[in-house]
Amino acid sequence: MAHDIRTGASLYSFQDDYFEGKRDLEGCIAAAAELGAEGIETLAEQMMPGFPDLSDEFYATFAGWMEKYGTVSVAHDMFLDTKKYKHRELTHDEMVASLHRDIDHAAKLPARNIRIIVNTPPSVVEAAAPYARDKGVKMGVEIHSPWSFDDDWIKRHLDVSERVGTDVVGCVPDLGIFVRKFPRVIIDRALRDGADPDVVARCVKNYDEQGDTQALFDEVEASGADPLTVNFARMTTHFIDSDPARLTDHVDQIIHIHAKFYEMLDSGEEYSIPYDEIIAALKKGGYRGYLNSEYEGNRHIQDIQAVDAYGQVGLHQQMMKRLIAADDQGE
Amino acid sequence: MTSVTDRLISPGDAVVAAADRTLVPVRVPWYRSLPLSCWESVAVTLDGQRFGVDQLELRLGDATIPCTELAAKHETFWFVQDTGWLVVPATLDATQVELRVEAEIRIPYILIGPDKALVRHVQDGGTLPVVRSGEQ
Repeated sequence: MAHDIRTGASLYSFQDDYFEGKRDLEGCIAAAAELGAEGIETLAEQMMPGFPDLSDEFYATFAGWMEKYGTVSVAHDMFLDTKKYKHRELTHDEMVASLHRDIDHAAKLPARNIRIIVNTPPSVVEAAAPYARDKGVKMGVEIHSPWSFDDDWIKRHLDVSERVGTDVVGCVPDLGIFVRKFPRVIIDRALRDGADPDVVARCVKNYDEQGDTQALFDEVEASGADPLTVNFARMTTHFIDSDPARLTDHVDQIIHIHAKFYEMLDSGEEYSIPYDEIIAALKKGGYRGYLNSEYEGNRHIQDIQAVDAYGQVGLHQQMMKRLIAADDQGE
Repeated sequence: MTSVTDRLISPGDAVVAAADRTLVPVRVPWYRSLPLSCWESVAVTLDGQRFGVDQLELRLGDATIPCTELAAKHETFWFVQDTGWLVVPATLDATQVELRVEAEIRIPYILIGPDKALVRHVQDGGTLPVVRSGEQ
């Protein structure tokens, strides 16, 4: 089936540069464009001061940046602060109103897609679907580890997509659900912090061999191991290794993809995630949409080195473009 | 270098000593802006003297808010790049101070149980320079 896979970048990748004042919002967009990203994904609560009360002037400026750098505003990542009140959750109506706020923002950027954060109830997405359709905005629940396509919560979201139509509701897989090898940057950080090397090695082997991470965590916790070691064992329960073929199965519901990565190697490969299999699965399904680089190795290396998001996103863009362009046997 | 999500104090910041109070620079220890209502508690220790939430005010932009009232500020966001100032009822004469800031921050979209959000306990500090200002 003919595919049309494009690469973009989530500005989440450049958050360290932003926090440290090395790049402003325009600078992050410019960096993404220089590295080959056509699509731009933004987090209003991270890089748009004043959100949700942004001026028409801001939106005009943002649209001007898209034109200036030859990029397309692909997605707005929404948050649903269900516990902004300490003693109660937002009501259903409050959640729908909050989502309408995000739909309005996406329509003004304009961004075609909204990443729906996974704590959003399916009923809220369903209630907001007519409003989103009127505004020309698609919504997709983020499928983020430890959730997978096969969890009941995600299935309920995908059921909403079936009911209201894939033209307005779908999903945003985060490629962190395909972690084949436990990320080396996380292992190294745990060892630097002082976790027990023998237990860490055992947990990593168990993960990489698709062992029962919960059972090993329970054992490590019961053993009286130190908190750092217990925490590392717990972290292995938060990662999953789904079958990339699930992307082919659900390709019609995918509105865009968070192309999560932890560590690009100099060889041009990602250490943990089988991008070759993932992109082959998307091609097989005829995926038409964006893979947005989302660098998340930063938080694990900040203790020893400056974060090089620019270099990492550059290598990631090159890898994805190479794999998209490659001829796949049997395609 | 500490992760930005663990940092309450930005590198290079200084404590400001005014005539009748001290101002401590603080940032949001997270990767996105959060409503002020998510600050469940905050405390400052200056040279061993601890000041609790009921003794502190937060100066953010043009507003000065008693920290005991932060829980009611559901619609006011603290932007991640903005420095807020904790106003401490103490005076400093020295050129540097041993500072410790502790905070409990509710992450309002990360649920860890029925009607229960993740609360992060964050602390930061060290020896900071003290600068004097009659205007702060």
